[in-house]
Amino acid sequence: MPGGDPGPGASASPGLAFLVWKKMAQATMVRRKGGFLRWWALTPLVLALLFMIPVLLLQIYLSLHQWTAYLGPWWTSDFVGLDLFWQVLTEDRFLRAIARSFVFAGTSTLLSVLIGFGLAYLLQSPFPGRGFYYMFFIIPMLTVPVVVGYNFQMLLYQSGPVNHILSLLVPGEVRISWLGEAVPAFASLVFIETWNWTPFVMIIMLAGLVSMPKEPVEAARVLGASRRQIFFYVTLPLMKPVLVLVIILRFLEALAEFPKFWTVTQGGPGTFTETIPVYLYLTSWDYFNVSKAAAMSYVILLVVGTIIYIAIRLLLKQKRSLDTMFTRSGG
Amino acid sequence: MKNKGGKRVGHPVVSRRTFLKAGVAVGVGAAAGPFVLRKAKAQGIQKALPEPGPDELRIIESAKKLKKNVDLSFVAWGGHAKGQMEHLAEAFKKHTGIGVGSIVDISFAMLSQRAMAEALARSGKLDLLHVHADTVPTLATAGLAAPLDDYMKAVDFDYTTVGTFADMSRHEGKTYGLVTDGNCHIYYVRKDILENPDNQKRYADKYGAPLKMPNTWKEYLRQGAFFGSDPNTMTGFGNLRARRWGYWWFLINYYNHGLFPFTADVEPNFDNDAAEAALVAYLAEKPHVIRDFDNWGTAQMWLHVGSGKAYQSIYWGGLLPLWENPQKYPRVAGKWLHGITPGKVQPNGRRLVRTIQAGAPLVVANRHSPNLDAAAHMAMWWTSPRNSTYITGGPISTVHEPWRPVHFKDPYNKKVYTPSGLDAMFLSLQVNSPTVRVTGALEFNDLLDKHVSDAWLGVVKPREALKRVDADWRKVIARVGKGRLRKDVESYRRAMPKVDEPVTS
Amino acid sequence: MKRQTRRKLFSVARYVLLSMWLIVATFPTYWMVATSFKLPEQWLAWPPVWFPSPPTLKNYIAVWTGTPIMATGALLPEINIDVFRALMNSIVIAGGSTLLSVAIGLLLAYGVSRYQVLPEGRLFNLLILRMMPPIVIAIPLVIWYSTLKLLDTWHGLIIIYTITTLPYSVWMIKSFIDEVPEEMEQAAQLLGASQVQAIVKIVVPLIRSGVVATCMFILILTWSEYLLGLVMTAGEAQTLPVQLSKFEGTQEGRLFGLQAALSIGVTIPLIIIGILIHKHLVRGFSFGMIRRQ
Repeated sequence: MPGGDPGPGASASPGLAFLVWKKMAQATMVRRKGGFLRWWALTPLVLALLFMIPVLLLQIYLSLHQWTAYLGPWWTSDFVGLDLFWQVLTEDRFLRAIARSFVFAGTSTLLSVLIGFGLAYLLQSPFPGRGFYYMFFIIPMLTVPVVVGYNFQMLLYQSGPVNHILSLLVPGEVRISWLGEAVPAFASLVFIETWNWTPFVMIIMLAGLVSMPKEPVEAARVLGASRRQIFFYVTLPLMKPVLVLVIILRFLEALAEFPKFWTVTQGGPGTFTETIPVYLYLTSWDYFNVSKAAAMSYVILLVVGTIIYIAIRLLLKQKRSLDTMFTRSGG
Repeated sequence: MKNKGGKRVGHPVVSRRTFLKAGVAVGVGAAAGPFVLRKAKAQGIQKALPEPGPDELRIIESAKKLKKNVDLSFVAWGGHAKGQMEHLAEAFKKHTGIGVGSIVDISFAMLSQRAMAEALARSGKLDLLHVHADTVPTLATAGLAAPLDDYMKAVDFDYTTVGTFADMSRHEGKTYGLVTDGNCHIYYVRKDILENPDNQKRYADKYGAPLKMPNTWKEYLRQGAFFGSDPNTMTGFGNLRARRWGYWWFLINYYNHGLFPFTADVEPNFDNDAAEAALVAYLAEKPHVIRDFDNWGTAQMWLHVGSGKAYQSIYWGGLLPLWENPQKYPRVAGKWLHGITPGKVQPNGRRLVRTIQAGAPLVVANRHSPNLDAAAHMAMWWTSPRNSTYITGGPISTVHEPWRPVHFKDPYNKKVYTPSGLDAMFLSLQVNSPTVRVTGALEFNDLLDKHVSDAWLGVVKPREALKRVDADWRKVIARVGKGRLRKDVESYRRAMPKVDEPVTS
Repeated sequence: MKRQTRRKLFSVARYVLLSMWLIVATFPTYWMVATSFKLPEQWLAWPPVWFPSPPTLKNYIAVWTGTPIMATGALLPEINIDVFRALMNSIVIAGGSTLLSVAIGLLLAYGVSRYQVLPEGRLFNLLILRMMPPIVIAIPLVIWYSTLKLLDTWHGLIIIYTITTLPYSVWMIKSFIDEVPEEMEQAAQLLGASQVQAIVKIVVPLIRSGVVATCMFILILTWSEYLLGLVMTAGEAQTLPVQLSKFEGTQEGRLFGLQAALSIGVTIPLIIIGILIHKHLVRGFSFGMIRRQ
């Protein structure tokens, strides 16, 4: 019997003594159940946290003081309270950057989900050549973003291959300046992001489709449902949790995308492709207005954090429903 | 993954073994290849290392007194640092024991940021840095750049430059860096197109004026419009307009309208009619160039101009060795007229010519480095009269443009830049102007560029763009502080050209 | 319409649609490969040169040995972007942080899976934190690092890459450990094995392929990391993606053929790795959403 001395206060009442004993027994039981491993497991995490805490504290400090890097050491900067936050929240350039980030992330996520799901759907049943298609489809995802950026720059010049191909398909010569005009530049970046990450969506959706329980589909087919009906009323609902997962993952990563923007347009033309990461980079590493960047990052953290919170709620709800679905069907 | 029937369905599988084999093969090839190829590298020097002259000997003597045996680290773009600067460093090592051990090769665009990072970190591990001339005040304020005047005085260093490069190295009376590359934009016009009799007739018929090399901005624009009527075949102009560096060309217009970015009261000076006229002149090139200019950097532009697709261009003299080289660009080699940028006639009748120095690199010594003395000497060694002549023009690093009067007498430079090109560079240097050059230069310049780029795009009217420049600049001025900026503006003014038009000499 | 014809029609449509995307997906990569074998005049030719003729190895030679190539000879003979150092740095930093991340992840995943040292919700939060733009903490990180003298060092970058990839490695490995029933370890312990032995002899072999997959996935992440590498290195610890950016704008502009030649060097290892682990990638990603049959 895992023992433990009941400790002080045991003489107070036998009931209390029993409770205390029970508590300690439980504690030691857990400890013996491989306690050392438990503490070991957490140590690196604790260390990592300790390592990062000064960074976070400095970030908070900087967001409350006005520090421009070349004007002096950071501990001499003046306290400005929440001034910087106010400045950031009312700044036109910042708000536009957030808007651009969201539009970019939303559009590219939507496109990659539509295309990725489509591809996964087409690839789910075996047919000759399937492995070949699959292999080539995942290559874009494995290309380093910087490389993707430089590559597409080459392709999208007015006298580049893309325009040439389009000229062959469409009557007349196509000389769109994909990177020199505002909206085409933004659209190009959306396309590049979609191109880069559709395989990611495809892989996950494909796995989801493939591991989907076949019984509901069979049942529907037996009941005489058309292909379309099966897709919309059986497949799609079953795929919902996976769908939600990829949408959230992709959206958040797209919000943080930097290398492609910096290599392809550097935020131009004008500021038309200046998203949050680009503006943040300029503010910290070009303007050296470090404090403002710190304040901006907190505002962004708040915005993204709210999305994350909603996402977690959504996902956890999905996961729970999935759990219940499976336990019920016994699968 | 199997379904109930035992058949293999679901996830497509790619044969692992095949790819493992392929991967190993590629890996071995990639690993072995470079090591094999590296041995084949060889560089021939076609220019002889100069014998130390009296200036150089004084530097050597002074360096020997330091009794230091050290290998310095140098942060620069490889295109500048490799080749001649390396050779000179080796020679210095032999003479004095001070050499350059490692060149930290980074992108030219990142030089200022890297210097600032070092100012923040104060590691002292970087001894010498190449920085853009317009960041000198910022780096001086940040305490990174070390003043070199004492060292220069001790060896009686001759820092004569054509134009105001010496002033561009100074801040509040102290010299913080030494220039190695006389960056300067000259003016190129296609001689074959201009002297073509048909073109001459057509032009004279249309405008009633003879077709000659433009020396006013109005004529420059008119000829560009005339020959660039179909930009897809030939653009009337060959200047960059992309976000990040379009403002260099804008400043040419701004300066040649007689303007200066700060008023006497350290207020921004962009919201006025003259600046608007300057911006309109800048924007006037748009119908006669292709849209891709909005995204291009130099390598695309030099290919474009080099393949004969531009009528005129305001660009670095350093491109002369390319565009005049028949092996590399047969379509345009030998077909250029060289000159100074067209000027603008002022209301008082005088002509004002201005050109821009875009990112002239200075060698700066790191104040926090334990090898500061040695670094200062190396900087002087590189920029001494004979050695700097060796650096300019080539043969390995050809991006160093001449900046001393003696460079223009060097036969090698005469050959590589062509005599008329060299002449054009000499004249242009006299009216060479810095970009905005105060503490916080990076921010001021980028804000200017952002709005100019917006105006070029057409999303905002010129006057409105300039108003926004003023508004944004005021915020930065408030942050940096007028007290600080007053001093900076003084040294900025001193770095501006001393003459309205260049004088032949 | 007859069932047979409809099926055939669907099959044809499938091939058509897939092939369309195949072209879109592979054309850019083909172009990059082709450009790396082109001479400079052909980089931006119009009409575009679809197949390099004559194909040349000059770009590869220039990138990997620093010898000058034709058109840029006069202006930029020795661009020598110090590829070897960058390669070394990438290997050490990416490799080191991958191993560290997976090792710690393993430990932590075991703790979470078996002992719930962290509730699952918290762990999910940790993962989502990873999605934050890293630029958000880049500046104070640089200052902190400069105080610790960790800037531009291997260990400095390894530490931060490890920390930022830890959420991924914990998640992935946890999902693999979850699939190993706890009873197996307990059975082993009943038979006399110590806990450590049980882990090593039972759990590890079962999750081995999953751990390998996690390793490779994290390797892909750290190998291609750009932003932190850009701001936290100068020349000594620069990784390959950062070195690529030396072909960026201003004076030297873009030298496409050389860029392409280097890009291929940067990408091929990843492509090979990715193809090897694609099956495992999915299992790790789904975080328990996708149930296997």
